[in-house]
Amino acid sequence: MSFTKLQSANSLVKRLPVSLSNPFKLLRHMHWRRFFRRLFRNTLMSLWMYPIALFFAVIFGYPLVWMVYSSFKPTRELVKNVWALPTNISFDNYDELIHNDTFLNYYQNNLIVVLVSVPLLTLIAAMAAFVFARIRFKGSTLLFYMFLAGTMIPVHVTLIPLYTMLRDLHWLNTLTALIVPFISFNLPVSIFILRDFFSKIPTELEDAARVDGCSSARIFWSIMLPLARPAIATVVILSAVSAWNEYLFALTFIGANNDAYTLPLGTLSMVSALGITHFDRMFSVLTMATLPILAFYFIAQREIIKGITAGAIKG
Amino acid sequence: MATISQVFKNRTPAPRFHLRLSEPQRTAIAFLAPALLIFSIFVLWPIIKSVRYSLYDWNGVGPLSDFIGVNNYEDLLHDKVFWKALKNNGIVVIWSLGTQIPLGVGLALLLTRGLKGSSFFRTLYFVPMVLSEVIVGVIWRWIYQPFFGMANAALLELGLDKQGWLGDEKQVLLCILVVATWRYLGFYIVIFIAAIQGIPEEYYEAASIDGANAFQRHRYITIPQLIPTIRVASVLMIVGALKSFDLVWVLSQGGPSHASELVATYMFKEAFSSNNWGYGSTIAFTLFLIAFVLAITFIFFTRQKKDT
Repeated sequence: MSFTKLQSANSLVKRLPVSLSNPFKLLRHMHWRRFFRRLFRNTLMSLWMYPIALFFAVIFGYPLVWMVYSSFKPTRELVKNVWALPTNISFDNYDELIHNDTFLNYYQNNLIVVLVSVPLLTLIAAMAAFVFARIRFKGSTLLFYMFLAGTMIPVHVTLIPLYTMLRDLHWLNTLTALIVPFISFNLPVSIFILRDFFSKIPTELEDAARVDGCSSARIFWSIMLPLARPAIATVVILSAVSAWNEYLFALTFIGANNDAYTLPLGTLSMVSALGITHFDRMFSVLTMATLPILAFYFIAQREIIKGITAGAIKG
Repeated sequence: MATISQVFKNRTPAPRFHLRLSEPQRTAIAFLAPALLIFSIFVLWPIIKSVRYSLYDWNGVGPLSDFIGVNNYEDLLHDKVFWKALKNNGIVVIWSLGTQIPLGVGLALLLTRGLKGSSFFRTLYFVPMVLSEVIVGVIWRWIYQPFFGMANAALLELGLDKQGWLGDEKQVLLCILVVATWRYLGFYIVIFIAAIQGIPEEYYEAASIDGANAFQRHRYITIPQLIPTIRVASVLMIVGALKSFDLVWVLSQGGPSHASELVATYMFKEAFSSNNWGYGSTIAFTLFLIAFVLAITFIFFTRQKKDT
């Protein structure tokens, strides 16, 4: 890309002046007609591109912007005109919300689920991925394909048996009922991403360590894990986002216990409880529920985009 | 010189009747154990269990005693709602393939042409992907709200009649599909952008030298080079259609009168609302079989591709 750009810039100048110290000298040697033709073409091109890009930007962005500014409008104003910006901004809804213990409890539950399941998942997946990438044994490919097939299984297939199992274990309506199935269903993708990375690490390091008397466990912990930091970041981000947004297990396994509700489940129950009389409050609930993930996204958007797409493509 | 494995073997003489394993093999077992254990208990075992449940008439409580053989499967074959749900799943697949691939490729091409602020646009297009489907569903539920919703307000502004949207049997599936596209399009745009950026610049240079215009360059270079990515995206859409549940559940719960029912929502309702756990398991296992067949076909096709 840069090479072609350089070339095209070069072609605008007839003959390079001996000294570049005076930029005005350069102007005298330019192909002016070519320069204008190119300028015209490039601007025309971007001129038709911008409206399309902006149109889609509005389609993708506006519902969110609408959600945020509607949360500052009283219900009466909202019913009158859904589009209008709020006439005067009031933070009452938010003030009420951050003193609402149930809502804070949803937040806390969500945090617990993410903070427990993500590190556990990453560690278990990394250990398995290391074995698949580095240690040969009979049936290793078969086992790996078994995990691989796991990415294709729709979660719903196992919902009923999982429910009865969790009931027998007395885990229903506790956060454990979310964490353990979440980890097991996200193992395949995580193993796949990590194995892919582990097998690209050159074996020389490992051989050297082995000659020095390192055990496999030591090699994993002191060499492979630190080297695999980018892949680990991908797995952590991917699983953190999906754990934060997880809804199906929550709906099925903890639906009966309001104290264990996570944010998606809690948001939905609050929204339906507010009904159609408190639009404004509803929008503030939505905004508060999306805020952490949006903030996280805008801070680390490059990594998040990479994580989410890597997870799906490899899965 | 002794090899490393010999050194290991000599250091610890194994007792007679014990399995002799080298150190890496022992580590392999220890390292694989947690993943294997969790995966078999919470993913594989439930699949087997759902086969068993599907052969019983069971309401979820009490002992599993009413064995009815394949009756549930026979019922399923004559179940109009199930076929309707399956058809809807098919519509989801066709819609996603028909809208998301052209739009995704188109917008990806737009964002890779040196547009100023293209990374800003990309970030914006991807935003819906990080939101939970529940939040997305609730936001759109209020856009479609028949009395004060944005969709009807826009129609009134244009002087058109109000629509029922999610409440209308004919419109509900399309409404949900629009939301699904809104949520997932950014994801496919990003995939296609990555693929386009991976196409070597030399191809375009060579084509330019040969006198190919912009349209020809895309027709004969970009699109053929994107085929593998399009194939991956199609698989993701098919698998995603089978898995989709959250959005439909929040927007319409499969209603009104099963107009937007998917296999997953139907199974969930049968099991957890109507307490037909045996029949629910039958639907679930059928869903698994469909996914399994699709997965095998996919693996088969990619294998063939590699050979040629």
